[in-house]
Amino acid sequence: MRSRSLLVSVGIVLAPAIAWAKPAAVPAPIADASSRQLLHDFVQKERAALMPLPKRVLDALRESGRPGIPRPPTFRDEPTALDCEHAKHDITLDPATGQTTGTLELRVRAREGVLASIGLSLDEGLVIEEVTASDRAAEITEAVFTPARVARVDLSPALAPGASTVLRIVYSGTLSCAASPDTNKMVCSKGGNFSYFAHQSIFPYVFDPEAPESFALDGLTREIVLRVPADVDVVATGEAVSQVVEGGTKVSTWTIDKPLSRIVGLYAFVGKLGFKPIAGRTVPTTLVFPAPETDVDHRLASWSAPALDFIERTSGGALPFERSLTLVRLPRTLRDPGTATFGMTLLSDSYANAGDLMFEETWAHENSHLFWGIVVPESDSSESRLMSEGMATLTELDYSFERHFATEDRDLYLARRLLPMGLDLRAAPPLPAVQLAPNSPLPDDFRTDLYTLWAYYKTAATLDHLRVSVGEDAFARAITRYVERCKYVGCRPNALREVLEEETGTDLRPFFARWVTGSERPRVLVGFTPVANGADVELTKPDDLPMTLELWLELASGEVLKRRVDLGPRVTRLRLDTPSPVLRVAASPRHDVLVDVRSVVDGDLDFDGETDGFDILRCARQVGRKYEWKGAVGLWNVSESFDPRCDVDGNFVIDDADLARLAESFGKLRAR
Amino acid sequence: MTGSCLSSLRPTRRATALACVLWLSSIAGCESSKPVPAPPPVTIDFERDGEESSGAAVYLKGRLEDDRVIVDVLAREVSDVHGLAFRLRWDPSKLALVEARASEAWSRQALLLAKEGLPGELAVAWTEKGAGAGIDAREDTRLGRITFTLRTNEEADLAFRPDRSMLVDSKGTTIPVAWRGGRVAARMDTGR
Repeated sequence: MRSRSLLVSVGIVLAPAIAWAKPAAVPAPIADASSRQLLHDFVQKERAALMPLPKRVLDALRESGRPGIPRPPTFRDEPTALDCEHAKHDITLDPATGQTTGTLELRVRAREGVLASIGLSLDEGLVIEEVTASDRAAEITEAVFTPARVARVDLSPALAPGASTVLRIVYSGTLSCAASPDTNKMVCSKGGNFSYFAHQSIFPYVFDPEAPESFALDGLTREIVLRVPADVDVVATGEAVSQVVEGGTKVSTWTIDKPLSRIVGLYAFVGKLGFKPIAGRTVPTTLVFPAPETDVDHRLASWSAPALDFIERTSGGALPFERSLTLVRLPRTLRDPGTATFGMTLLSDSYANAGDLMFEETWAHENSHLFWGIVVPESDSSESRLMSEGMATLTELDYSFERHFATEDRDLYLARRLLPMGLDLRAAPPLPAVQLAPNSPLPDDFRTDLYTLWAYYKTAATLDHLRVSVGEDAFARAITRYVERCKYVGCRPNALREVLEEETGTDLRPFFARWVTGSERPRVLVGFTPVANGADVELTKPDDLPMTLELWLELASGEVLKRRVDLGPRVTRLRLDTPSPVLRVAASPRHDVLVDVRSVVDGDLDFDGETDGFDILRCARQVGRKYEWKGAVGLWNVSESFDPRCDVDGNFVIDDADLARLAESFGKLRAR
Repeated sequence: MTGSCLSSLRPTRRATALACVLWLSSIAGCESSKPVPAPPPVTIDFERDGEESSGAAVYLKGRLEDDRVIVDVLAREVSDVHGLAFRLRWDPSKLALVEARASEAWSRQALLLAKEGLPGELAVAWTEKGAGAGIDAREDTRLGRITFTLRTNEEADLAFRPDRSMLVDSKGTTIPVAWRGGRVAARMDTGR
């Protein structure tokens, strides 16, 4: 389970498209070098979150005689034996100097196998002074991989399946807060007014040395006690329980009382913090930022209640945080794009650079991860990002529609937002399925660009295609049921299929086989013959696997009827009754990313069954346009007005060759 | 029977054939043994729809040359014609399409398509390509010419299909225009 900052990059990518979508707005590419670098920094951070331990650490573990560690990352479907059940952190921190003493009491259990050792990673400046286990010997070996100290605690005897023990780990020292040579990023800062202490700094990161890349969900609860000087402010991940001053020390207590994955990030912010209550929320919700308050804080605060309300309304219920919810504006100097974790959402103010639409949408995306990835985790985040990044991306699109584009046709809005995603997906090398098969490796060059396409675009497009296929209401009800079923325990994509099947009474295995565990963009040809009070429609696809499409029938009255139709064998023929003559029959453009829907008449781009000047004029002005895929940053530099249907030969350039192809078919008219 | 009448009339430059037919139809016919009074002088001409109307329009302006009907397609009161698509219908038993040609108003790069997709229905797409400027048609500007031959000398309508006709400017915006066709019509010359 890894919600972390993965979420951020999609928001970054998508928001310019929103700006471009505004009526009368002139597309203004913002893909300058710095913007592009910003995105890549974010995605790199995202990738790093999937691999909390640097490769060199993993390699070192491998060289130490441990089992081989697959590279590149592979979804292995092999549950780790490590099950972290409860952690108690007690940390005394001087944020000015980084001087730290800490104790971690960790109850671990062995599940589905013997657990012989436990790995820890924390700031290299902190020395592990003592490790004990409640009922057995614990021996520690460690090494420094700047900026981390990586330790392995060997248990003797090893924990038998089902057995548990409580480890007590004492550490102290002065935080180095050094930059990683891999990413040049830091996991803590000290000595500032707004000091930042993330996972693997004062909070040890716990992993299974036998499966260091496993992200199989466990259910870990935590108590955090932070002791800082009395004259500084402090917030930490989790719900606020108490804060008292004892002598010269401020003691704050935080709880994560719902089971979460051990890899969900922990943060503490200490210093001169600004606090701004968010009005309109039942649970005390506070925006935290480096004091003094700025206009950015004002805007973030103004967006928070609408975003959180929207997310709760569309995600099946209230967020489970009862005591507090902390929203953090990260100063860009920290170079942390943001993340979501238990009871806390963080976002870098660097997003403000690209405009409020983008900033607000990203804020919605990030906050949606409070559900999608935190409260409702995936069973294994290396298997699929469908129900984390996919849902968060879908949520941000929906949120922006409701907030800013509600006067538009929602279908057309969504189709427009999905269009550049579809172009990026088509331009990219073949991607794995949304849900990886066991032992299926990601491509060897699975760098950030492709990861973004796979984790964000493909998932969001699949979910939207799915909800058009089953219907918005059924999809919404299924999401509510999915949340109920999967919160805290985690689910695999099949759980979504099952709740959808329960809601719709439809066998969705063909959908999942084609678009979730498979990876297809089948071509469907649409033909129709107007008849009295309707149309005879013929739909042709290349196989017999069922699918459902929402057909749009444009009538002479101007009305557009939208009807879902089930396609069975290769050719499906049906009579659709309508109250006035039918002029066009097309599929919802929201299917376009995943289904190549075309008119049965070559060159008929507007699905009226004819090729005339309307089809030509649609494309003539597009001549000269190019879609340049620059590594999943298409939304930064491609206008949504690039019309893929005019790119007849599919080479991402609309040119004379395309018009010549259209001209070949010109003048095919329907007999009167 | 009427054919013999027509054939005898064909050489006239401004054909009176249609008038002949109409006039003969109104009496007993050519084969009547009764003396036939000489037909009044008539002409065949092209009548425009809404000739006196103002405002942005694409309209037809025609004339007859021998048995040919030459119809110009013009636009007016449109400052930026980037592309034009239209469908034009007629009765194919009365008129036969010879050709449809765009005018020199279009650039050399323009895409100029015309095809009689169905008997009696012409699909036209005359358009510039890319993001360049369009044609300034604030004054009456000829965008193309369509030539027919007369198959009969009956009245024949040339009608746009406004639902499948469109004019766009260089920004891709559809410019609302009136689509005005016309007809090949006979007019009796009463001498007044």
